[in-house]
Formats: sequence, C-alpha cells, structure tokens
Amino acid sequence: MSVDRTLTAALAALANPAHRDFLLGLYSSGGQAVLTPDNARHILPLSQYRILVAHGRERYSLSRLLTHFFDDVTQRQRLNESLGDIADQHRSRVQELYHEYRHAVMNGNHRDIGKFADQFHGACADLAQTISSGIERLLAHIENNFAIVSSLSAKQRQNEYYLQQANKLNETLITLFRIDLIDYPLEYPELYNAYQAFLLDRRSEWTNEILRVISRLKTHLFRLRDAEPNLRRLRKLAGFLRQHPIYEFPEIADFSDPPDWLHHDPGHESVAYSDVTDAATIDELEGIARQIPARRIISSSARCAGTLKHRADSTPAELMAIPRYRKALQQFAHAVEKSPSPLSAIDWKQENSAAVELTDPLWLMLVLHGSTITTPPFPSLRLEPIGRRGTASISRNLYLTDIVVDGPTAYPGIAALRSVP
Amino acid sequence: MFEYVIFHLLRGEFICRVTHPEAFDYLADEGRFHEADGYLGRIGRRIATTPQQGGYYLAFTRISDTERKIIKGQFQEIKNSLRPTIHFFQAIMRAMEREDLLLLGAVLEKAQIMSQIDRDDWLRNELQTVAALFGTTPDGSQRTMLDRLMRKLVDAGYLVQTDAERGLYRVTSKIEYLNTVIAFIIDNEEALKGEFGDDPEPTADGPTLL
Repeated sequence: MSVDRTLTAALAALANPAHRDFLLGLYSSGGQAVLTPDNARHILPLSQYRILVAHGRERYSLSRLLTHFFDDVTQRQRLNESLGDIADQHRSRVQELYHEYRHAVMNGNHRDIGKFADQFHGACADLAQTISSGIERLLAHIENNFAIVSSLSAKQRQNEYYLQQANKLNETLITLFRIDLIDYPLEYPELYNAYQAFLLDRRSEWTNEILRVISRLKTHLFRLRDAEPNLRRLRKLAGFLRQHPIYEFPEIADFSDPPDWLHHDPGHESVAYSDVTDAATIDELEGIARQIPARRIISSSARCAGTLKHRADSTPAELMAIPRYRKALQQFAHAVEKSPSPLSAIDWKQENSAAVELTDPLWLMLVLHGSTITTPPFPSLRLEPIGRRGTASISRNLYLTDIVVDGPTAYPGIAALRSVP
Repeated sequence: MFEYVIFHLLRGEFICRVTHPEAFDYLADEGRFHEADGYLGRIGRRIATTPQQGGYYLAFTRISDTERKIIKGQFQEIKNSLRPTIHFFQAIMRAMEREDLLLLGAVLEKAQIMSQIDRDDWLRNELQTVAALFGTTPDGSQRTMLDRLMRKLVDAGYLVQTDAERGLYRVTSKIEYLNTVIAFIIDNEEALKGEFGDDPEPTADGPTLL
C-alpha cells in the first residue's frame, strides 16, 4: 500500500464517527483500554494504523503523539473544569439565598421563609463540599505531578491554570467571610447555625490549606520552568557521551575554590553500640543476634595418612607392663609343666636368679599366690610346701622353707605341709 | 525532629518532600532552619539547598586540606557514576514516554519499565550497557538486571522506593543536584560547546521521540 493510501486510510479511521466517539472516551479515561468483544471493532482497525498501540496481547493505549496533540487542542477545554469558578458560583448562591430569606422575613412571607432557609442550608453544604474537594484535587494534582498530561509544556500549562484556580478559591474564601452574615448572628439564628457549622468553623483550616497549596503550586511551576532546559542538557550530554564512548570528564583545576555543588559533604555513617548491661536492650539484641546467619567455616586441612583415633566416648587402653616377678612366676609354672619330676621353687630360683629378683620368702609367697591364679597352667599344678615347726616345745609357728611344685593335681593345702627335720 | 534532621544531614542525605517529608517541612520554617544551620556552623558545616529548593543537604563552610581531599574523592565518584546515571534516566524516559523524570517526585514503576524492556531491543541493550558501566555483573535475567540498576540509583540517592510490593520508586531532590552537575560540565567543557547534536536514539519501530 502506498504512503498516500495508508495516510488516507488512517485519516478515514480517525474521522469515522464510531471510532471518533470511542477515541474521545478513551482519551477522557486516561488513554488505556483492554480488548473486549465490545470494543474489538474499534481497537483492531485503529491499531492497524498505530492510532492505538498494543502492549501485550490485550492491552492498548492511545498513541503518544496523538495524546500530545489532544492535550494541546483541549487545554482551553480542560481549563473549564475549574475549581475556583464553581466555588465562586456557590458563594454567590449562598449570598443570594441570604438576601431572599431576609426579604421573606421583612415581608412576613412565612412559606418562603422556610423554603429559603432550607435552600440556604443546602447551599452552605454545597459550598463547603466544593471548597474541600477543590483543595484536595489541587493537592492531588501537585502530588502526581499533573499526571493527566505527559509533556512538560502541558504540565506547565496545567500548573499555571491550577495556580489561577487556587488564587480564585482564596479570593472566594476572603469574600465569603466578609459578607454581612457575620454581622447579624442573632437576627437570623437558623441561617447563622448552618453558616457557622458548614463554613465559619472551617474558615481558618481552609485558609491555611489554600495558602499552602498556592505556595506549592508556585514552587512546582518554578521547577517545571527549569525542567525543559534540564531535559535538553541531559539529552545533549547523553548524545555526546554516546558518540564519544571514551570521553573522560575534565578535572577541576583548583579544588581550593570548587563550585558550590561540590561543597556537598558526603557525610559520615554514625555507629552506636548498645550497652549490653542494660536489660532494656537485651530483647532487641537477642532478636538481632538471631537474624545474623551462622558463619560457614570451611576447614582446609591437608589430607594425609593417619591412624585411627580413639572414639570420644572410650578411654584409650593403657598398656601395662607385666612385672618381672610375675613373668618369673609364669616361667616357673611352665617349667614345672614341662618337667618330668616336681621342681623346688627355691632351687629353680637359684638356677634362674636373673629372672627372679626377690628374696626367698617373697618368692615363696609369690609361688603360694600362684595357687589362686585361674589361668593355665596354674590350676593344674600341685604345690607341696616344705617347712618346719618352731624349735620351742610350745611353739606353733610354721616356717616355710621351700615349695615343691608338681604336675596336674590340685594343691592339697597347708595341712599337707611336709616337715623337714 | 531537630535531632532527626541533624543526624540525616550528617549522613550526607538529601532531605526533601520525597525522602523525609516531615523533616523537609521542619526545615521549611525559617526559624528552625537557622537554628539547625547555626548548630552545624559550629562544626564547619551549613545547610545548602538544591537549585530549585527541592531539598536540603549538608555543605562545608570552609575548604581546608581535609575538605579538599573529601571533595576530590567525591568529584571522582561523581565522574565515575555520571555516565551510567545519565544513560539510565534517558533510557527510562524513553521507555515510559515521559519528560518529567528529571523532576522531584516523579514516579517510576518497575513493571512498566520491564514491560517495555520485553518489547524494545534498543532499551534492553541500553540498560545492559548501563549495567556494565555501573560495574554490575551481567548474569541473571533482565528483571534481575533492572533490580540491580534501580538499587544502584537508590543507593546513590536519586531514587527512593515507596512501594516494594508494586515496585514503585520516586525521584528525590538529588536529581536537582544532578542537573546542576550536568549544567556545570556543559558550561565549562570546551568539547561540549558547539555542534554536538541531539541524541540519535535509533528505534526499530517508530520515529525519534521528543
């Protein structure tokens, strides 16, 4: 399709009355639409000429360029949605109804007195609502930075216009509280009660708020007027940087007298330490401590061959050396086992003096102790003690002089002591 | 509130209606402003305002060797971050088709930016370049990259997150400071005076934006 034919088709789509109404509604409601079976007959053809732009499968918005065009065309129209003008109309109505009531009272027209009193009551309520909502809407416009329009120039126009409206609201308030109603409170108490409840009691609140709004609108306008040159500078610098990717920003020659913006102190981070002795901080410190993740400790010990270590719950075995006298006793016992005839303990000791480093009595005691040992070969040995009685006639002492140890019979006990003459 | 104001100024923060609304209103009172300014004057500091009076920040009253050293470091930091910051704001203005992002209080919606990244190859590449200039690692999804970039701007003080759930951010008064820096550089750098033109911004599917 040639360019001319495309343009003609696009203009025809815009001029189509059905599409026109749809576009007007779309623009008034913010410029966004979701595709539905009802509006598909508008959205689909309009999106073919990029009058509507798709965002995903079902969301569409009015073309940015068309939105800007509509913004510029409708600025005067939009300005007619005024806040101060409407408030002024309501104020005039309140004043008018006051005079009507006054005339009715002076003429004794009781029917109209009631009617005008009711209407005055309603007019005061309407005026109060208009002033309150007007201030709220002005604040909302400032907070959202006149989001209803997207270009800076349109926002600036919006700001200037709403500043005018705010000033008009302020004038309305001044006029409202200068009228004669205030001077005749007792004469018409039923009017004054409504006037006071809806309007007079909120006078100072509204006055403060509207002055604050005016101040903010002026500040905002001041910023908006600088926004355009700032935007232009940023774009120019961005374009330059894109064309010169290795460009380095210049150094400042003299830091003794830097520009004002460089006087900025980047600041210091304050650090405070809790007093852990203060019981009031314990809970908070505990909460903080619980949030601190455990540190992961990675051990980097080198691998090497080692020996098994004892388990933590077991005590290591202690190696005890066998006493030499015990070894000697075992050697004697094995010697007895091998010997074809009984062996004398004393004789064996004398023959193996290097192994037995005990005196004869101790050696004999040890051999006797061998009778209590349950491990082989001791249970199979027969011990025959050799001894004598004391020389005194009445002596009952037994003197052990030797022990003869024989083969595998049990030890008969001390009663079998063989006497030695 | 006096203590709050002093501590936040001493931390180098910009106090404005977006970051600290009550503190900003506090300093808007002339008497309180002078009281705080006098207090800081005893330690060689003062309260400065951004060019459009959108924010207050701490400034030196005298420049000695110590302050000069701090200023040099700060200037180096500004130089290092200026290029990606400028490219970021320009790319986002293009993505959201708005011209008001250099204004205090302007709102950025992460979902909207993400939606545009998915559709616009130029924007995707541009933000990857910005991420590289900021020194962030390129791994991860586009969403992760955008999160990191927004975090960078928040840490630098240009943005503040107002609604984490909806991904809403607002521009702070530090943007006025940035505008001042840009104006200074353009006015004082010979290479920037003259015939460098508007940003070419090639687009795949439409005319050049405003």
